[in-house]
Amino acid sequence: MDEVIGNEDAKKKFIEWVKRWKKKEVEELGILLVGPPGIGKTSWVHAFANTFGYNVIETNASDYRSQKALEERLGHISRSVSLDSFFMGMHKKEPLIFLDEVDGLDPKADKGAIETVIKIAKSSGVLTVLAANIVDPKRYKELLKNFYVIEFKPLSPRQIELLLRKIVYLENLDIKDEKLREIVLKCKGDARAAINMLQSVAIGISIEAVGTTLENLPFEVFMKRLFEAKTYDEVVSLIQSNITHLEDLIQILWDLVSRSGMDIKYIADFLKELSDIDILWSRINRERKWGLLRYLFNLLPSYIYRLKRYVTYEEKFPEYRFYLFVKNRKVREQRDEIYNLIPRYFHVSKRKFITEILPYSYKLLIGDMWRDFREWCDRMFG
Amino acid sequence: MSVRIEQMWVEKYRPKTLDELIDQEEVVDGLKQLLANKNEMPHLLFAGPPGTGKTTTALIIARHLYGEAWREYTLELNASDERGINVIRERVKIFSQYFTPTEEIPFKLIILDEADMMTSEAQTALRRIMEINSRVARFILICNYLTRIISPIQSRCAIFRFRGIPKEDVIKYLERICQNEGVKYEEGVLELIYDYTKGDLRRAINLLQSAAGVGGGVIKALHVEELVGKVTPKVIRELIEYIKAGDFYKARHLLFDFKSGSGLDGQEIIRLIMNGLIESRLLTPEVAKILAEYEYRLINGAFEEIQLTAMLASIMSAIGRG
Amino acid sequence: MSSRINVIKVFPGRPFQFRIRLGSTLFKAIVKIKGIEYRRGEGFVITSYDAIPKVNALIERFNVMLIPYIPCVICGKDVHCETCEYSINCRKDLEACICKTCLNQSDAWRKYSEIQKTNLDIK
Repeated sequence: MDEVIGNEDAKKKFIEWVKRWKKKEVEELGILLVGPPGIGKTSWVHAFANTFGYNVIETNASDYRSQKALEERLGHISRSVSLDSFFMGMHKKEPLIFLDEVDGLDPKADKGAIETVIKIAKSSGVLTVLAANIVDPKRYKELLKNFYVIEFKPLSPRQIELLLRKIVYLENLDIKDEKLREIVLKCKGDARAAINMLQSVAIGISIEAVGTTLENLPFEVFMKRLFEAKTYDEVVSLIQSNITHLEDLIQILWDLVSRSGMDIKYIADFLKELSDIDILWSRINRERKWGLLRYLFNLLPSYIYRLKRYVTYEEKFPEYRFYLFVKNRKVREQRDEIYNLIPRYFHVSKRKFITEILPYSYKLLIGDMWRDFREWCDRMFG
Repeated sequence: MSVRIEQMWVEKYRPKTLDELIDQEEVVDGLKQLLANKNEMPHLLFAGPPGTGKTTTALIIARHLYGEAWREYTLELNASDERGINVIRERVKIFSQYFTPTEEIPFKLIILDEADMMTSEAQTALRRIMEINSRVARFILICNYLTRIISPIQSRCAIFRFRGIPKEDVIKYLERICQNEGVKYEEGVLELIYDYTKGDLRRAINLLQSAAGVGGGVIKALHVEELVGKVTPKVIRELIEYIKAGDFYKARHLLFDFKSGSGLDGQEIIRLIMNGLIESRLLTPEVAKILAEYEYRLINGAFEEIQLTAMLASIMSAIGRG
Repeated sequence: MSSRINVIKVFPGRPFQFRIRLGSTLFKAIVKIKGIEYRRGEGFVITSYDAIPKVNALIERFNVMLIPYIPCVICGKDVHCETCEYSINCRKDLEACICKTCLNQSDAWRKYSEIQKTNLDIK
């Protein structure tokens, strides 16, 4: 507990309140920790529990939106406290209910859940701690009325540096002080982000890549980074953090392989693998099976890492788009007009029209009004 | 509008009454009975090989029911053109809403062609659509293979089987057209045309017209043969040439020029390529397997272009090794 | 001729006085700034260091300047924010920090731990 850095005053207030709560000298039902993410609210609660002999029962409020679910999850605690401890095999440890992200609950939609929380805190006689990022006093009036608010502030940059130095020491990392300072500068007061960045630097990802986080990069930057990445892990991180670009990525990879000029056997192999990836991607999108993404996070990096040996990425207007959107646009427009007339006059499907009627009779049928389409027919059937 | 359809013999000489229908006597007899009482007309299912008069008959029925204004009361749909059963449902709904049956016009007509191209799930939904709209619409379903139509639909329709038009009838018909159009032909040419088209009257008439165009005044056997050799469109033959030559770049280009201009979907293109490969005698079992596999992948994949190019490369790699 | 500037050390959450006569106009202008409050009976309190440059602009003509300091959580000395290497990035709504000397010690975090133990009253 003494090891969790930052918010020393707030922690003091926390401990004092619990002492008074034990003596039943408080009005509030529990504690509400408020502060931005990544500053140590959760770690503090666990550290506190460890030091003072509590057993934390942690729940994310947004996971248990419905009143019923919340009650199921936590209700039993109030009913048979000692039984619970017994079953958990942790004798003599009192329970501490920790409800994280209460600001994920909507005061109107999840009204029942909020009432349940208050009810549990009231009746259970169990130490109840809530946590939230921001609490709008108007929306969460009920909570604010009943809970003792302790504000957790972000760490100062130097405190974060202290934290990083500690990790560097304990984990025996070979990272220079200047690098630590760079991380502190880039993490924007978020201690958790700083620790993540430290980890990334430790496995070799360049600070530039780490610093601006890999998430939601503009597409061109994303592509460039993918092909310039020095480690496999970096490719993986990039892909995992830019899911919105995956569809375009697959198209670009297809274009790169097709235009690569590699031996046809290599092209066939790479394209077949891309065909597998495409099918997987299609399933994920169609059936919304986001769980399947993890296979993609495996297949794509491996694919790119191998492909990099044979192709380089150049930012060019991809070829396939040229045909699809530019070259044949007029052709398509005219074609659609003609297609509208088919049922009326020919009573056949488009396929039959193209394969059985058009090749022999387009010169007869297609007048000047559809000149581009007729030229296309010349190319195709002439 | 400068599409000179009337000059298409297939349309110009399409029978407009049941009596004009070529062959299919059983069908004609049965239909005449059904049409005797308009109100009692059931849903119809026409099955049989292509070019034997199924669509023509459906149109004849429309004319019989509604006279010259038949287009107003008839909706023509093609299962392969409409993307999915939902599109079909929507179009039927829009077509049949606000219609009130009268003594004169007891229902509207919906002709759904290539019904056997629909999956069984889609057909199940279709059955429901037919049920819901049966008060205001009658369906005429057209298919090649009756076995591909699910039994709940079959049981709700009066089924008429069309057979291939016999040789004498095809030749007689072609003779009549030639007389009307002032086209001369060498002896045996019409028989040749029948040999190539076998019971498919539409193909026969198209072939006749194309041959007449090529031959000028007199159709000779070689004109016919020249055309027949080109059953596969030029683009597909050229594509296969590139495949044989191992030119991936050109093959891919041509494929996309064709696909983006024609609007055909991947499956249709694979079938065309397969026909082309058969013609060029390149369809080895290995290549056939590749085609089959990629047709399957196409159905399951998101980007047709990726699947098609992968298939091209695979085929080229397989052929190259040979 | 430059007159001596009076420096007022300002600590987060700790009330202070301006030591000059403000007048009601200036008082209102100062209180309007986000990050500084007036608490009756106590004085002015800075809740966000972003307010400091704004206040300083208003009181410049009196040759008075507020300078943010923060107590070092380890040794208790005053940390001068403006000479901090992170002063640009700092969010400045903090309660405590660490002075340079303490931070650069090799076992800084251990010392921190010790202090915390005493502070939080744990055995």
